Amino acid sequence: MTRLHPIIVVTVIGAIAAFCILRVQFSATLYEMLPPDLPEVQGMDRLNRYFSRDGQLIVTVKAEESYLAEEAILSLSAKMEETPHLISEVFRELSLTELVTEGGGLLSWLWMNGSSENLADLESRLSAAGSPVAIGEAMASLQSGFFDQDVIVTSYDPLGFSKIGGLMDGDAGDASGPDPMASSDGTFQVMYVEGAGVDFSNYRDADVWLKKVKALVEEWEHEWIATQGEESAIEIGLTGTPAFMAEVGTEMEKDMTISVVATMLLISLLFWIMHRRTRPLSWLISAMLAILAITILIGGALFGDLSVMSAGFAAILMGLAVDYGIVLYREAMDSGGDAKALRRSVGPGILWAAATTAVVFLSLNLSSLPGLAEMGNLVAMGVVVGALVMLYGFGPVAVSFNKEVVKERSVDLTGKGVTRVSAMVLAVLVPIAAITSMAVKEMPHLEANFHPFRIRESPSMVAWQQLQSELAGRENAVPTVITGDSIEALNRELGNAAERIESAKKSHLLTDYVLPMAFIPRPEQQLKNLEAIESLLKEEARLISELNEAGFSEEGTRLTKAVFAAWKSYLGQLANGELALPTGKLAVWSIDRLFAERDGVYAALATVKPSIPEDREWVAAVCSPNTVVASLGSLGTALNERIGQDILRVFLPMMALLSAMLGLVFRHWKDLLLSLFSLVFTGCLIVLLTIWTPMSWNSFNICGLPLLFGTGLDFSIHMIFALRRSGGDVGAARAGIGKALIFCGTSSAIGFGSLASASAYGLASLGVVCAVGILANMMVAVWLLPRWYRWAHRLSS
Amino acid sequence: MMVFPERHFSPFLAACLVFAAFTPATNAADMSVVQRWMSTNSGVRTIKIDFTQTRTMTSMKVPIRQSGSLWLNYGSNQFRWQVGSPPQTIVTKHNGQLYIIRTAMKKYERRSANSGDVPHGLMAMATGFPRSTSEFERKYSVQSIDTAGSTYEIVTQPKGQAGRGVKTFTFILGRDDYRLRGMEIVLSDGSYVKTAFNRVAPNAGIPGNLFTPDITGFTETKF
Repeated sequence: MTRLHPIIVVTVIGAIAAFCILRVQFSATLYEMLPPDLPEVQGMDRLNRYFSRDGQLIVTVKAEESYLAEEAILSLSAKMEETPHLISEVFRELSLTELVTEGGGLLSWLWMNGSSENLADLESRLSAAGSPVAIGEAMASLQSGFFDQDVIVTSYDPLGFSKIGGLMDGDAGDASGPDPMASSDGTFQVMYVEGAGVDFSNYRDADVWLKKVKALVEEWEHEWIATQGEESAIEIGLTGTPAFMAEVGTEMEKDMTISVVATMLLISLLFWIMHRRTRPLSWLISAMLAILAITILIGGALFGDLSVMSAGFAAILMGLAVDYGIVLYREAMDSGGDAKALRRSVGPGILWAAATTAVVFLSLNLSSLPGLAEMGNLVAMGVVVGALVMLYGFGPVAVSFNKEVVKERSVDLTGKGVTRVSAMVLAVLVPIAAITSMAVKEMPHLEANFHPFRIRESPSMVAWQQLQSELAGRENAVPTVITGDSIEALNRELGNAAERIESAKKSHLLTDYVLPMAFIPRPEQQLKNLEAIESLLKEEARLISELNEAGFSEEGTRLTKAVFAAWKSYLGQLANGELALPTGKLAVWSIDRLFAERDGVYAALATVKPSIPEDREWVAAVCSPNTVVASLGSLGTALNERIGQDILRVFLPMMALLSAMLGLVFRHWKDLLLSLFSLVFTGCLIVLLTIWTPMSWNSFNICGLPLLFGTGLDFSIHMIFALRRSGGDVGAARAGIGKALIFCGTSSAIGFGSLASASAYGLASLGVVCAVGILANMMVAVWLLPRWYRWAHRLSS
Repeated sequence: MMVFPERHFSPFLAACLVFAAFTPATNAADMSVVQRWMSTNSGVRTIKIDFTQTRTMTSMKVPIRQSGSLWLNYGSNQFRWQVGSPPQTIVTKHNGQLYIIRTAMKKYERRSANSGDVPHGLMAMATGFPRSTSEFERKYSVQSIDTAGSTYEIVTQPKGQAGRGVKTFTFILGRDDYRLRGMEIVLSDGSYVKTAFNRVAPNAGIPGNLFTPDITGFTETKF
């Protein structure tokens, strides 16, 4: 056989694996990993489907003073508008002059789409008898001596078209209430930026685009500081769909790369400590990289885009697959046979081990979390691939090493260390300590409000949270999506939702709500108002004349003229049998935020404010198949409830089944109890850690329990059988199977532990709990179980 | 759902008038001008100011000019502000309440002087004005201090909520005595209001019932 230099092998296969990783497409849509039947998850899905725009970036500006924020946002928006290849449109808070120019279309549409009673009031106000009074009141206001917003608005809108509060009383809240674009003190302002030039559904493209926008913002910041001085520094935040997508996607790539590299390095170190040989190590690494590459290719073909949770599968797989290579290597060294003999000797064991590990990971499909199930499927598939690659790829290479006569300088495990007395003391003390801790401090429980897929250290999330806290009326506001298969159905569903929401408010489940009634097109109402609008149009010339006579300038009558012009346009749409939809940038922007149509489904966006966001009673009171809430507050509670059910439904029966199987395996009650006690003991250790350290249980890492249960049983079976074979010789059992368990346990723990730095909280916590649990299982099996075995079987020391 | 931005413009005129009363004038081309101006506050217990206000709005063909008066009693924390002769609009503060009275309409509005609902300018009147340089600096950011003939022009930006929609807020002081002669507010839409003080009478006698005008027969409303 031609000898390949180990570095060449590792480099070539490593390059192939890296290429495969780079080809992986991750899905940045986090809610797809959550139970799809929860109304909270459906709410996020529908919010994203109907009201999210892939290319719409939200830019936030925070300054010490309001005038600085206003100047900064004007300056930054102007800078952004200079790059049409990058940004197609910028929407910021309009100045009053701009509002006068843009607002007419929206105001006229709101009146025409609103109730006939309100329109009748407007007719009365604009009648020959009413308009002089209205104009007189406007003039009185202008001459009052005050110089505030109301006065300025009145000067541009003397007939009061913008006084739409009454139009929406009782059905949509106060649309002129909290400013959606700025904080009440004006020091925080928001603008919406529509990206251009890339496919925003691809997070890599979105990331490239976002980097260019960040560079543009940095350039602007330098210019700003140069002209305004350091004391006028502005804090800029970027959030919204493209920022989230770019961040989640790139973080997942980073997670996978870091965890795989860290796992490889640590496993290599472990191998070196235990075997002190480089050539087998290089082939082992190559085999692991090959397993990773093949699994990613198959996984990509089967599952398409991988989720944020799946980013963790690679490291777990590395930690598990390396064990098969170690078994082959040890056997090849000991037996000295050829590859076929090697496969005959350990092949069945490896395949059975892979099959049982795969089953344990496939059992994650019983969890309610699709994200966890996907990760389980990938690991399951990977361990099968791993077994085959090791048997047929690494095995033939491994047998060549038995010809290399090198004395190994490996670690020595003897029967010394933990004595029977100390093992027995620990067997009593640890459970007592766990029970006492639970009684004295706290019972193990799932973390409330835990969102497993939330990305930590996320600048876009920080900017989003700042936006929620700065803008008035956004605290605890939950987007609520109402859908219907026609506009009529949507209005009907909206009416039903309004009743439920109002009832929930009366029951104090909600503190407030805003319904978008006035902003949803109402075809029947528009036709009903047709006659009144036509009648109003006849008054236009007289009203303009009266305003001129009162002293209003061209600017002062512009809004009035715009309203009449828009009404004429809408009447034209209705005359053509079309639904009248608002025109103008402001109108389209305002309506699009609350009303949408996709694929024949019409959707409206309302907002509710629950009294206790974490509670789920309000969710049940508000939601229906056509009304769902995108509530992060109650999502944590919902997940905890669901996972609690999973544990009872899946995990407990699985434990009972495995215990029965264990009985069949051992056929000896003492060994069965020893094995189960080892699990209980490990459980006590983990409970102590969760009570006395920051480690905690949540709806995600609790799903690692079956994995820990599986490895714990595995380790105890191996050790008890080794002890049986050696007649209870602790030293012999530890030197043989003990060494293997230490390597397997440590490598698996490394695989899981490398996820501790993962971006997603859920994945990181799963990695930590599983790593700690596997290490605990390993230590109990290697150091304590042999002593308990000798005590149980009355073997003298 | 954006229709019109909330609190985009601030009612500063009245605020400035009262501010003026609290802070009769100064001189210098740096912050010492403000310090000198603030030092003229000492010993002032009451004040009456007669003023002329000219507001120029882009939406109106001609400027609106009006005269008015302001009375302040620092001891009782009361004020009365009115424009027009006879008064068309009166604003008073007493017993923690603001009363905005429109005499021609025979209507009035009552608001809590400390309520968050009070418009910014009225809030400024209701809660008082800076009487020291440090307080001034907390409320205003000085853009420039210029000399124009016999006056200083302190061009500022109001800080916080009060600054929204205000492009510049200029205090005009006499160079000889550092006392406030008037002010000019320019809003971001280009509208502006100039106020000239015709007569300032420190420690003038103020009848007690001036702050509690008779509103018998008036209807309470929300303007």
